[in-house]
Amino acid sequence: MRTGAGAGASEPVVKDDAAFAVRPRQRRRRPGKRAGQYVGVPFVLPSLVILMVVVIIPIVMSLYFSMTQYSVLGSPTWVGTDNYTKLLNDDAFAAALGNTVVYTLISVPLQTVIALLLADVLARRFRNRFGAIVRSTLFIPVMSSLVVVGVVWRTILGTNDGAVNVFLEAFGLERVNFLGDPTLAIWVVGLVTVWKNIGYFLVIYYAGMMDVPAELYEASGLDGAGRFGQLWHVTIPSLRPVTLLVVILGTIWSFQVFDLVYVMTGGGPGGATTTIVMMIFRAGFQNFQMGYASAMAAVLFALILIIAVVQRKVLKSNED
Amino acid sequence: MNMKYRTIAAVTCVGALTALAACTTDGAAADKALEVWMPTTFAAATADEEAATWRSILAPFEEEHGVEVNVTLVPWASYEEKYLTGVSSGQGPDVGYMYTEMMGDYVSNGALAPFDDHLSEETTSKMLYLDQGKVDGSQYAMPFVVGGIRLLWGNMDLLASAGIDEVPTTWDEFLDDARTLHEAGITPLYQEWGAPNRGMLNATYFPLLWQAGGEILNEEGTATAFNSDAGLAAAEFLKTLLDEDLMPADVSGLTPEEVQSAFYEGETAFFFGSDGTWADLEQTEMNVEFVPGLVGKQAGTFVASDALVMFESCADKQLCADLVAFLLGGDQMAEFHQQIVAYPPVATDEQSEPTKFTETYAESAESLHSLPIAAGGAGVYNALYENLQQMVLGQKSPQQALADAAEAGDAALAQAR
Repeated sequence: MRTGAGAGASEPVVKDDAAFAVRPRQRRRRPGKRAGQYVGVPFVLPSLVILMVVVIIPIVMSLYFSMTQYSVLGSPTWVGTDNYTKLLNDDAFAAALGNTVVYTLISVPLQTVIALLLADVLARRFRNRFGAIVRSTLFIPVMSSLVVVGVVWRTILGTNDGAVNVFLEAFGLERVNFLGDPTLAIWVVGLVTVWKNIGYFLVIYYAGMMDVPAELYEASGLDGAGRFGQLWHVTIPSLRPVTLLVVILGTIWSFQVFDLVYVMTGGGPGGATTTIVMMIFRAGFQNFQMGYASAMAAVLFALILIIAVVQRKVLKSNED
Repeated sequence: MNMKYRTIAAVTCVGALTALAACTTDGAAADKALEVWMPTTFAAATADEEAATWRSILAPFEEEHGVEVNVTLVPWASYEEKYLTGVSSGQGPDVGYMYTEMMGDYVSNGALAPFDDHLSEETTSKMLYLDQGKVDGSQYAMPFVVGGIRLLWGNMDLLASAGIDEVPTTWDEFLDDARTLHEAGITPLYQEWGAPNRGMLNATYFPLLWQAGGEILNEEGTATAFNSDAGLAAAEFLKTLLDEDLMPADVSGLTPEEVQSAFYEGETAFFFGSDGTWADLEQTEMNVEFVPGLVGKQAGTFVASDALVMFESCADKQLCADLVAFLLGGDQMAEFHQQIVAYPPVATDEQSEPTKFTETYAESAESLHSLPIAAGGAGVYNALYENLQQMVLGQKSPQQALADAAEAGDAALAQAR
């Protein structure tokens, strides 16, 4: 204990000393060993177990299978990186990857922009019963099964009997081969996806717009900003986190597209709409090449991860 | 023995007996139940009607063998996935219904058991299509639904309006008639090149291949055989139809439903469909005639040869084989054909009324082909369909389409071995 000089500061010194005397004991108790620290474990354990069983273990098993030749009916045989080497030289996989990217580039920007514009109109013009009806109506496709959506649109866009072509012919126009033209087919599938997803992203944007302070619009209005100016300078900057979510979710979904393509075109015509997941399905369930299918799934997983991280970085840096 | 020990002994005995009883009961139940998987609704019947028919058909077998037979109806849409996941997880059937494209991989992976040692001479001697179910000389499949023969249907009123009085029977006659129809402003032929699945080849390409004297695979099922002169002749025949506008360019977007509908509505003079189409055509009161495919170098057309198979997982192979023999019995098949699907008999002991197609099946027996049973077959058909679609779209020549399909198909077959 210090005494003598600096008597005027004696009180703090005493406190310091007291604290000093206690510290060693506190240091000996490591934070991880505090009493009651495991109280929460039973509460999170069920979730952890479920997460392990339905997410972590399947991913690890899939990565293992990607290193094997595996027909599902027999035992897997270790082949190392052979499946990945084969993938690198597989023109069909490259084509499917290209189709998936094109499909994503069609669907994601469109559904993001349209959802944003619609949400803006509904949030600022129609916060009434009409707006609610429109939101609910646009949400119906979201709730519908992708298979049903595919069948319905296939019927509407049918080459010979489709409602659109019947309509066109009634006006003396040439019918359009929506699903039989390789260039058009990928656009059609992409646009149907936009139609299906728009209600979901609209609701997300609409919820985000509810949090934008009205004062910002009032202030920008006083500064002379019109509707488009307010959208550009107030709404879009305020909703960057929402846009981040919409773009990343949309991209992940687009890279995973299967049902809609399977029902509408079966990957055709001539492979023009064959996506990565469709290739995975064919390899695994039709060709009994589950090892190769797992390798494609692993590459898809890595691609989605990279794209999501890059998108997040880019959009976050814009925000900063 | 004091009270405490007597109590422990009594509880132990009761526990052991209960466990033994439980084991016995479970074991007996497992031995006395067979799982059968069938596709749902072959034809017009509803799934409920179909399930009731199966219960009725199987009741005598259950009674005779003291066994419970559970029939699971699997939707066509997820048929292959359901089988693969079920069988690989040990939750598959003991006896199941499969089409030939499916069987090869199950045989090569040892999932199916051959019937050879389990069927009597009495059963096999009456079967009409046993050869269709043989793989490497072993009887892995018992043909159960042989039907759906692909025919060339002609709208006789449209043909008559162009001065044609009968359905053509050869390639040359068909081309001549198609040109005549085209000149008369009538669309000669629609085909479903926009079908979402490869099954359309059974009507559009494979019959032409067989008619040209070709085969899909070699005899061993180890390599593709369609990239041949015969395969090329078949592909070029299709290309001619497109190049001369005898088939509209937008067939690349047509589904089987659209093609049939177009034929019913008189938009096209011909279409290649199955005998199953007759049920609908009969309702239209159209004036139609058919021939069992065309004759090129020879006659040939497709017929489905779906079969009952027995899985290795079946604990009592003899019982499973007995069940298959029972199902293929004349009385059972008669009820099946009457209640569920009106296909021709697969054995000589079935008493059935002649149908519109009985004579056709009998006369064409030698030229009816089903798809070969080969591991990796699905990969071949997928590759062929995609490449022929590209030919129809004008992206590839017939030679290039066949060469690319053969390369991909051979790789699929090699991978499966």
